Amino acid sequence: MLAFALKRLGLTLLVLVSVSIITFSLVRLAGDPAIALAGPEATSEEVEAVRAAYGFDRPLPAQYATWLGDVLKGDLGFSNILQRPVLEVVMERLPVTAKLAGLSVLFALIVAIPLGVVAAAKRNTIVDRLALSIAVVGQALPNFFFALVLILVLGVGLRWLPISGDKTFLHYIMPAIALGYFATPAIMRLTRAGMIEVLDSDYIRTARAMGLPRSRVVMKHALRNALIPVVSLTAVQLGFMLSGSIIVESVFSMNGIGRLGWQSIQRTDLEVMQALVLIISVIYLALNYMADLLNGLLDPRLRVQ
Amino acid sequence: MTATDISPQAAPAIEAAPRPASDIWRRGRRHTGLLIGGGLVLMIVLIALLAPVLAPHDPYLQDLNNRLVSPIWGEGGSWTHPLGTDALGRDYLSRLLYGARISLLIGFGATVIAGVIGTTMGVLAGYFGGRIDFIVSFIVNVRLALPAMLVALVVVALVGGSLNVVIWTLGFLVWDRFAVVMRAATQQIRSLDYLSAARAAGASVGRILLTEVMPNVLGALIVVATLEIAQAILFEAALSFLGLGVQPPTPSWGLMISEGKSHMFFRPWVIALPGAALFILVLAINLLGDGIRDVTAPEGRT
Repeated sequence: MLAFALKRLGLTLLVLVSVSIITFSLVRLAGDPAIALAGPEATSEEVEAVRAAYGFDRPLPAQYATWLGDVLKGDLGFSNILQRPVLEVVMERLPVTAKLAGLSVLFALIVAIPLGVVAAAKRNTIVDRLALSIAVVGQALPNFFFALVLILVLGVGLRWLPISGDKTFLHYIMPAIALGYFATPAIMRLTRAGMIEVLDSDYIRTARAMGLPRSRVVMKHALRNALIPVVSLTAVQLGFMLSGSIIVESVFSMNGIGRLGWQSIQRTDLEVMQALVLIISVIYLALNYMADLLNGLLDPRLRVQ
Repeated sequence: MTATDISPQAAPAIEAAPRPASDIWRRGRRHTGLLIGGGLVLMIVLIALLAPVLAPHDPYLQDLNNRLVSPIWGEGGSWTHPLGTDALGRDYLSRLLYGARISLLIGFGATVIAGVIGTTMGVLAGYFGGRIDFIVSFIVNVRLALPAMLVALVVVALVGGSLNVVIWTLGFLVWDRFAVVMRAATQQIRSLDYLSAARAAGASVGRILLTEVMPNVLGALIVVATLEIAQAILFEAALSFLGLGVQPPTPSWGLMISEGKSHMFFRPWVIALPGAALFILVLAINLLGDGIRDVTAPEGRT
């Protein structure tokens, strides 16, 4: 298990290094950062001054090395637009997004797992078809449009929930639904497929033959094994939600890192943009790594590969 | 890291020998989802092609005296503007019809680019295995670790939003599923007899890949490509909604929802109409893709 864990860790770190190179070049190569920073009215001397002050005149690998060194020391740079250290700005916003993503995953699991189990237990009946139809419809609904519909119906029409901000728990309900429903079809399909596979296996047949009631076999013996792949899918989906939070947080005016990303892009805050891409990747990779380890613990066959 | 990292729904089950054409045809005619999806897609493609003929007005023509006119069923609606007008007095029906062109163009364009990148990587990884497989899996993992939406927004913001920029940006971001599925599909046929026969007959690697491998993974490719068009369309709509995709005054459905947002409280139809158009198109493409998978897979749906 230790060898497995170390090998995965090595690979994750390699991916991380590649991601950091891409993040760094993305901001550097997509345009001249000195011109962007100096602003539209700057003279060419001012642009040169900015270039020298930020070290943009040095070779790219040297710039990358300095940047990476700073990042490893926990210094993500300084936002000139906000006049504050980037790390401070991000850390201030991260709890909102973490809470939103957590609630979204919770919503997705609460809807998707029961649907998947029922669909598998009543395979090829009207119930199964209905569950699959819900998944197909869910996958076709754009989340920004769904978010606006929620605002119109639950917020403005029925006046049940606040439509913008992040002050109370109530503020999180609509955004969590808008962000979470998009993950439900994938989790539901996987739960269903896993359940079908497990329900057809020998040990379930044995349990049934021994006279255990069907509901108990389904809930206790089958579900536990069927959910193993769902664990890693959920981790992946949680990572995607950080990316999806850009839209949902913008629609609901929540001050998380998603909206921060959108605002930074609007005001060409390169340092924050770059830091956010990196941080979201790191969180995604960390979640993935933990899911890998968990899977390795639960299923020893995965360790030898 | 293996393919298990990637959402399992990504890999449709393509196994054993492909079905004979007559069999596919027989199944296809009885598959409701496929027929509905295919019919709707065909209709929307026709609408997009015939937009200049069908549209009652110029989609760019502003008429500030007739702003936010209600659709025909609303108060003050008339047949002059069957679906009303937007905040600049442009005919909403005409903009919706032209919007189909934008969605289909971007969905199709981005998918072609993504398909070429992903299929090349996936087929090479699946056929050669070993080190090449490792490198391809690694690149896929790097791509998945990058937050696609944020990267796309950054690129469009720095390079500038135009139809071409959006198509190329999306194309370079959504190839991962092609790579994963093509790799799995190629692995399954790699050691089959007819490939050994081609090798024994002295065919070059390029020839084997093009004439023996490609035709046999084509089914899987069509399924992924169809589903990816839907994903790319949703992606473009989201970018345009955030103001960093297709730029005004182009009639993109995502942009129309964004422009209508501030009027939605009193005139919900300004977001409902483009939203419904987007939903129907994506649903139709997904039904079509799922349908093709069902009728071409050996055992159908499991």
